[in-house]
Amino acid sequence: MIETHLSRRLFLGGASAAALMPGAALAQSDGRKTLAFAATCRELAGFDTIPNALVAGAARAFPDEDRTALAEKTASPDLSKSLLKTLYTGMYSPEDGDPTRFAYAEALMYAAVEDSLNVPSYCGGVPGYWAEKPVSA
Amino acid sequence: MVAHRAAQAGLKVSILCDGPQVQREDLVDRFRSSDPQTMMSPYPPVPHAPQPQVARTDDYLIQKGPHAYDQQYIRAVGGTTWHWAAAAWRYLPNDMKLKSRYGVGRDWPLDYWDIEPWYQAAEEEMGVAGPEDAPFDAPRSAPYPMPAAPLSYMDQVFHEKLTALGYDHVSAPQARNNQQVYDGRPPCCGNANCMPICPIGAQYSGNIAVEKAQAAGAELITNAVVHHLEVGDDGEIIAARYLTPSREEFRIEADRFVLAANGIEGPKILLMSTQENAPEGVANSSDMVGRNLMDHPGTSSSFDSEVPLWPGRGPNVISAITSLRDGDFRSEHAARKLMILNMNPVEGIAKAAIDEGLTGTELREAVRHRTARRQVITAFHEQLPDPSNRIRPSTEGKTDRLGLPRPEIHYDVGDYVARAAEDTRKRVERIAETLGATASSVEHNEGYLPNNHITGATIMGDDPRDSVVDADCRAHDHPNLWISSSSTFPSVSSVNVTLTIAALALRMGEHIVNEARP
Repeated sequence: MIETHLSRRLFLGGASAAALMPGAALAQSDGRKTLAFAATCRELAGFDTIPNALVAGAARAFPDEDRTALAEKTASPDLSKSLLKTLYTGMYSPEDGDPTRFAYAEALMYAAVEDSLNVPSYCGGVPGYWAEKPVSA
Repeated sequence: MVAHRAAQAGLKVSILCDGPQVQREDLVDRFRSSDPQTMMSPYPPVPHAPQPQVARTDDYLIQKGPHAYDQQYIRAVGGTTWHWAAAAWRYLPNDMKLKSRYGVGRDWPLDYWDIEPWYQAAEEEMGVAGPEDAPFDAPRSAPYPMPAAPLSYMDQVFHEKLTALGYDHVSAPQARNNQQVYDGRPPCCGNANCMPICPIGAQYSGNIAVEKAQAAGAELITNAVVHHLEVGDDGEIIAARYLTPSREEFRIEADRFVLAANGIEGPKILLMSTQENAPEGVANSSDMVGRNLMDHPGTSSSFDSEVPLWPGRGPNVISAITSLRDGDFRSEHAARKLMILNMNPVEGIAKAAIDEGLTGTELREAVRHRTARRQVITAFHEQLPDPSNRIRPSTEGKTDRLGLPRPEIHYDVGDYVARAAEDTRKRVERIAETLGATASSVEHNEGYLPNNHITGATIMGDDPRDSVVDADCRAHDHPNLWISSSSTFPSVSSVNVTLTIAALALRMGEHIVNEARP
């Protein structure tokens, strides 16, 4: 079982469902669907909390019918994989179009390893820190 | 660096650059917001000066040979050192004597000790951190400017295993500030992003030399695509012609010219400059311009170590295996340098795990587990000069947006490299086994990977009949034209070429100043 680290990233990501809503207007008009979509994101990705930038970005990226299928857990395996890649990379990559990035440092792939690896382009620690044994090595 | 030295000496210097001046912070922003993040994603498109892209080098380069010469480079002030890994190796003395020592390739027309002081000067200018008395590192007259960068935890584990296997494994010399401020730039804090952009300037890049030259009085003209050098009746270069993005042509005269336009664009300019006084192109009475194109044909192998080592902490490449840089085997097959890659591999791993159908905690755990264990060893193989490997202006009339011919390349990689690459892969399999990897986890790339070490196409030699420049990098055909590029190298060796370019540039700068101001 993976160790749970209450990191700054996840803490800032928000512990409440309200913080996961992509926007007030959308939440008001379709709050339950938004909450269900966020729940699907968490369940598929294996994270208890997910930064708002990711859920909101994914919600904007996917067409309405895909978002509904994901929220109602009727999505095809390929659509679920597409959502997972979107959340893990911060980039929506439709099969028939160019990819669009909406998040970088928040991407879940970096959250999955953040106790040992910094997000590339951000400072990793004091100069020479890399000689130390990583906490999870 | 040549311009800086000349400007310091009070010469009137103009630097023409085909691309724009770029700012580090803008490049970092572009990288972070890029869709797919590649080696070129930080760098803005330059429509009037096309840059070969990572995914589609054939948008610009025209490939005609059995192997693609998929090099890519940056056309902006500072050039391709914006996205290097700061590897700052000296050639070994034997790297310059391939023909006389091993009966293959060509000798340099100068000796290692002729340029040793300039290697030292280049290391001090760029700020190189390196190990003392490391095996298969070149002999030196003074210490590295900074002590060697510490090995990452991963490198330390590799070091123990590789040493037990009998390899020499060393902290690589790197032009990156190691735990100290150097030349007003900060120490590396492990942003793990040397390629494609160091966000803080701890790593040396060529724009630094341009900025110093400007501060010393040099004039910088950007977005100026030089396409023709004019030759006078006495054989001297009298002017360079360049085009602006709107295709307006300008002409600039000078007493002396230095061509430093990389190993593809440089020879292309010479070959485009056909005229009455140079019917085959500038500096090309030997017919060697554009020929002898080399690179370091690369291999890359990945495997999963038994225990977590966490690649991706600190600079992108910290260490190397040097044992195969030299030896009698070079009469039969290529010298090599093997590197332990220290780049964060998580993106590819996450996508693959998702494609397998993993979800939830199982997915998250697999991404962690595999990322901690995914090891990559790459290798540079020494390629021999072959006149049939060449770059020339498109022979089919294919042009870029300015109407200039695109580079057409014929390239092959011979058996000398193939024999070494086969041996490299076997060695990596043995190393992987020592690190507890299963045989099934070992994967090798197919063919050869490009390494952007564009070498040989204005080759240096004593004989004007089969070389383009002399030992001072001065064109045999034109006494006031010098070429500053790895394109002058008669051998590519097995190490990165940048430090040798810099050493020869500093040496050239001194020659030019002494000649201009005796």
